[in-house]
Amino acid sequence: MLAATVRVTCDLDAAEEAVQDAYVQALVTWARDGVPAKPGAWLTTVARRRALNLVRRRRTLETKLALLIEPADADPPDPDVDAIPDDRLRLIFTCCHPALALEAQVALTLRLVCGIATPDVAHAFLVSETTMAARLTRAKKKIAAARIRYAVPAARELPARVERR
Amino acid sequence: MAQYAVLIFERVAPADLPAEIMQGHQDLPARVDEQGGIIVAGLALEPPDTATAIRGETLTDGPFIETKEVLGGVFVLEARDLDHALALAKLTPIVDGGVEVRPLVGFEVVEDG
Repeated sequence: MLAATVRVTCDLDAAEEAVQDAYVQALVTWARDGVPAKPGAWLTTVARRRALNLVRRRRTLETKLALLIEPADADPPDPDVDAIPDDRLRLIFTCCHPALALEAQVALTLRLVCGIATPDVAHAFLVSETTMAARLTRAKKKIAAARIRYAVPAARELPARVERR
Repeated sequence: MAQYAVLIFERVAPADLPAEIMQGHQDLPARVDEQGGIIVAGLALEPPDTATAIRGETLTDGPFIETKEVLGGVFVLEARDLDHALALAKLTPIVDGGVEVRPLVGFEVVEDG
């Protein structure tokens, strides 16, 4: 769900926020109308819509123009991405970008892809919760500031990205 | 497109750089352009022994930070994302050293259309 939402926002924090909003809305709507047939799909749709709104609002705020959403990538769609049509895989490649420190890569993957709570990730690394929270925040900040791509690498880059260390 | 600074750390002094490296620097904007990026600005620095550091009221001879790798120059490039910026920065000709790629703050370029 998070992976599908990041695709819309290209921003991990905004995606997490949208997913949380979707759960909140589920609590309200499901209590009133009953649980939908496919709760997972319902949540994902709501989260993505919410994310889209967040992105639109931010863009408008930034540019002060009613600009339409800029395409996430000006490139033609990469055929390799279609070969592996899994949003989670993109998220893994973003989390494990070599521009991030190895500990940050693993921690971010556990947190965002596996959905493990920050305190539990901290325990696994034998560090304090605050240290882990700071490490995760730093990594997410770098992804946003340096514009680390949210995509599966092209075929020629794959060997270097997969078989490392 | 986003802007990145590429910091060139080179152990060989500018005057001692071989001709093909100098030519490589000359050709860099065209090569970056071929790969869909733009070099917005560039500057080359005189060697660190020509530097003067200022800390409060104190003047000292030499660079602010003494390092084996010397900051020899900086250029600013526009790229789609970090992977693109790294690919472009790799084109920088280097004899002994390397480059550092740093995103610039708030220089997101909104394209027309």
